[in-house]
Amino acid sequence: MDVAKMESMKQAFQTEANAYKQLQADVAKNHTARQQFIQQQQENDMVLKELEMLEEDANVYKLIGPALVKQDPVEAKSNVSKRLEFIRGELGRLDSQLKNYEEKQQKKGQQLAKMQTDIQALTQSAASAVAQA
Amino acid sequence: MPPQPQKIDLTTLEPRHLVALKEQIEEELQNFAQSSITLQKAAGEFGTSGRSLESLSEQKEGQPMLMPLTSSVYVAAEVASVKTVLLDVGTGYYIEKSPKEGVEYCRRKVQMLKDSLDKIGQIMRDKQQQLQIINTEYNARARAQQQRA
Repeated sequence: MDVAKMESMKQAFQTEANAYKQLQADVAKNHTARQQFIQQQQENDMVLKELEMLEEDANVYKLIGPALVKQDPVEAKSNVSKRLEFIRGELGRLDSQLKNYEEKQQKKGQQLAKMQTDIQALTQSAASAVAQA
Repeated sequence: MPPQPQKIDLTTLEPRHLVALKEQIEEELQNFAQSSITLQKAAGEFGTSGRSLESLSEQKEGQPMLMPLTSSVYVAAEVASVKTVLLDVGTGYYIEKSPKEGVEYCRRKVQMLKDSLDKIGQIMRDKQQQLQIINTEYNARARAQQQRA
């Protein structure tokens, strides 16, 4: 019975398990980022709705640092729209990233399960070899 | 993430999965309860702001008043203008409006929050129902186990 083979299998399993854990962490990170963007999206949506209800000569200010700076309503509207577009883009990117992660995770999970059964089979055959000897 | 509607046949689940499901739903319920408290607080604040604006619009310019510097320190002041107020509409944008429009704005926000609260309430009722079904199933399973033993 080659101990070396067993050892290398165990090591490979460990590496894969770590990669799986890394994937899980990535998914969690993706989730947090997504929640942040969704929150921003909602807030910007609300602001855009308010801006859209304004007359053309309305006074709009933006808080920049501690100062309120007067803005052109039309410009403000386009800025918020642009911001929303950016957020939508980011959300789409996160979505496809998550899909990618999930696929990888599934594959890794199957791989891990297979490696585990392989190791078990090897251990068993080794044990019965010892018993026969 | 959009909630994925999925049907699970409880009778096919193992007891430990039932427990896990139960815990998950309980956690969700807790989160929703937390959110609804936050929403209620926000709705209350908008209500207060609306009422303040209403009383401000009834005042005249030059009307003496006490301005709060902190919650316990006030200074004498005069109302400079009741024509316009600045509304914080989020993401750093402020809009100048008349007090009347301001009241309208607060009312809209309160209504929006109430709508969200109603939605959350509905979801919570659904979840509670699910929880009850799971509990019933779990108890039935436990009884069956006892009878077999």
